[in-house]
Amino acid sequence: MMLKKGMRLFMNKNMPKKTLITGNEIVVKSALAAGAKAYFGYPITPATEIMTEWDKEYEQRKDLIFLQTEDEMSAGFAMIGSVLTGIKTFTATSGPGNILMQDAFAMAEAMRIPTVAIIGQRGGPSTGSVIYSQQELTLTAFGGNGEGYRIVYSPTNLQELYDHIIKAFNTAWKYKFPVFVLTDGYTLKTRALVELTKPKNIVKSYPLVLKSKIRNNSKESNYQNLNNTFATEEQCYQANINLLNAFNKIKDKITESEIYSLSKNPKTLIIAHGIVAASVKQAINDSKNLAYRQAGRKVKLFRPITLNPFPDKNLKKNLKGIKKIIIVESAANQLLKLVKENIYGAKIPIQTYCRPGLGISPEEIIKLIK
Amino acid sequence: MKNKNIKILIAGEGGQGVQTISKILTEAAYHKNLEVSFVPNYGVEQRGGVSLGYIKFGKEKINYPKFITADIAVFLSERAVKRAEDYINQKSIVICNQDFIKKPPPKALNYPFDSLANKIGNNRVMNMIVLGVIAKHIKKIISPEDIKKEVNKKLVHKYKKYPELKKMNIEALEAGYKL
Amino acid sequence: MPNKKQNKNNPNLAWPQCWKHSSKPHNFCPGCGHPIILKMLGEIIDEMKIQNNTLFGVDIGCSLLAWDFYNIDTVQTHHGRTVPVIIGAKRARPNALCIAYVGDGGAYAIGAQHLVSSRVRNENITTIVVNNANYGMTGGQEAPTSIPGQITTTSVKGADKFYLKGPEMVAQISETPAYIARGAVDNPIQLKMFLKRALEWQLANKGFSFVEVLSFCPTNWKTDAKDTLAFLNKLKKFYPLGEITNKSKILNSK
Repeated sequence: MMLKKGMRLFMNKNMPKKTLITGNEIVVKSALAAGAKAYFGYPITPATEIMTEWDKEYEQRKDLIFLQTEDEMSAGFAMIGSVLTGIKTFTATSGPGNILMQDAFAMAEAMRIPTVAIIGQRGGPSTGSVIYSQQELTLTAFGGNGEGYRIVYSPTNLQELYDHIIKAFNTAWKYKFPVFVLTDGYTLKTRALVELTKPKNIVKSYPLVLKSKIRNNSKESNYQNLNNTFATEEQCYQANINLLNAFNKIKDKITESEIYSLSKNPKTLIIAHGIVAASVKQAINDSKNLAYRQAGRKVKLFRPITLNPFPDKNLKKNLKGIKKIIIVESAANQLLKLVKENIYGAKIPIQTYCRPGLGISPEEIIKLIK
Repeated sequence: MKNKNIKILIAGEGGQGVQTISKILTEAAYHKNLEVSFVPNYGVEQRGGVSLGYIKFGKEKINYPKFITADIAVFLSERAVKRAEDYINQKSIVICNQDFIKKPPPKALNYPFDSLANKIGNNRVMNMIVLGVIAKHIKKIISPEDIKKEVNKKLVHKYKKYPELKKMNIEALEAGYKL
Repeated sequence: MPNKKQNKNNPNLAWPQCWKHSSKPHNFCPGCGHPIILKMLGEIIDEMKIQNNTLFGVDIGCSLLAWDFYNIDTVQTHHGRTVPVIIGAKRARPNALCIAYVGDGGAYAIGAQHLVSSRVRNENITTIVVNNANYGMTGGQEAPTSIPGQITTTSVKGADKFYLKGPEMVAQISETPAYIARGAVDNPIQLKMFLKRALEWQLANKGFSFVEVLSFCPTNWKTDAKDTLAFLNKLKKFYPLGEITNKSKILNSK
């Protein structure tokens, strides 16, 4: 059919423009779309390409900041320094690098510094594998010597990776907690179609120190003296209570989850997050095969999108009528632990399908729910 | 004090000798074969700041070294009162350093510890006067002679450097006991 | 002569104008060297009129007691991480005066790799290392700068023969010109000159500037006033005072 000019325009208007792109490249595009101007990092598989992609952008633009530091501790703390001056800054790491960065993340958590970190999970513990796992949930959400006042998003595909990173910067600068996007080595290396939309809403960053060169210097309150040490237990307790209250206050505003089912009365609830949840979805869809159709229809997927704060209210609501829970994760006891804590009191048996360090295919899940 | 363990809280400025007398009391209880525990509490600075000592001893086994209400509470400075005044109730025996505390808690026993120490000849023996007062209140559990023995044992190194302190310390201890 | 700024409320005080009043008296030990250094630094910041565009980073250790010392934006960091935090801030805000104020542990032990890299990259920040040859806040443990035979709580029979010469080390790392000096708290006039030159070096965007300051710690040295001064003079034999010029890698005291 001959395409006339008007027809072409019609087609362009209705077909969203998708780009064929890898996870690592998306991270950079998304951060830039969110207004990020600075990156500090250290090479570690599978997150290194995020840094090299940023470097490419940095070489072309005059307004970006980039430094490959001598280690992950330095990267995390340099990020803090940059964020304090009001610049949207982020980093990316994995595994052993994530461990080293806990030093910086603990300080950001205590002092409510809006850092953003992309975690590309790899096999653990220790050096593990450079490839994939879901074994850094506990570390990312609760890794400091505190209670885990951190916000953690778990994107299930590349599109969400893009959307969540923009959301991460907005959440960080709006609510002033360190924010993490917990992805994995498979996702970062996957190349697929993503819509790189311009974000509708961007939260502005602002300086936490060096707010103005013009200040009335006889007023002490015009200067910021930021500390994370307390002289007495009572002061430490009060600081903790302040953090707890501030975090609880925003819980309802930011927790997110997704339910996916082809049935009206599912009896089995599968709980999974990130790329594993995508595998579950795939399994539910794929159970069009006659033998498995019945099984797929008895199943409902509950996918926490924010792992911390955990969407416990929505999970508890979705336990109605459920006779069995199956936890599926590429770890031994991370999502499992988190779910148990959040459904305390529920008398539903929990089955687990744990594959620490190993991917989980839809075929395996179909077998599970047969 | 019946058969229950006795709980003593000593609070003062770093340098007033709180930790020293806490340790002496602890050692004295230990040498009398009593159950005893002691936990200090202070801030990060190496000098100054408020210094606290929580001491428990008696016949009962001790599981936990800290407590909310002291049987005997000693406050040696204004800041110490602010820091630790929640640790007393109506039944507590409260001993205050009159020289530094202008607003003591109600029913406190106030003594001019620093003035008395200066009269004896050296401000450094102030904590011994305080110890003497404490000794008076616990004489049914630990005798003043045992406390005296413990003081001499503990400060044997100091006495080597400043031999005149031995006589002054005992004088201070006895002065406190007589208050 | 140092510039004596008069305090409005109490004309008898010769305090730097940028000193915070509500945090005085400070929490440093009697006889500590920190207040001397902080006074010289305060005077320089007053003279440069840069109080409102300075970020002061302090480490864990006795330097943390300076977290609320000044009416200057201050951030207390984790141990050994003051240099990276200040580097991040400087790279994001290049026109601000960014100072990392750390101890011998934060600079030469737990934070050594950050100091080395900051010199290699010629970071445009000023690092001030307060060297009292022990870890003061935790009770006097051996430090990389404890001198041979020095009694500390983790070297009760005397520290070993190895010690770290910070300014010499950072000078050797790179050929790039830098401002590197070592002063001492018993010569505050010379110290002030070194500190001022270091800060001017940063403000002129010349890169790395570094001042180590030999400092008193009578509390952990267990010395009286006379012996404190004597020990500082002993430290000078291992850690000579002076500035390192481009041509010479040796400290040259003038």
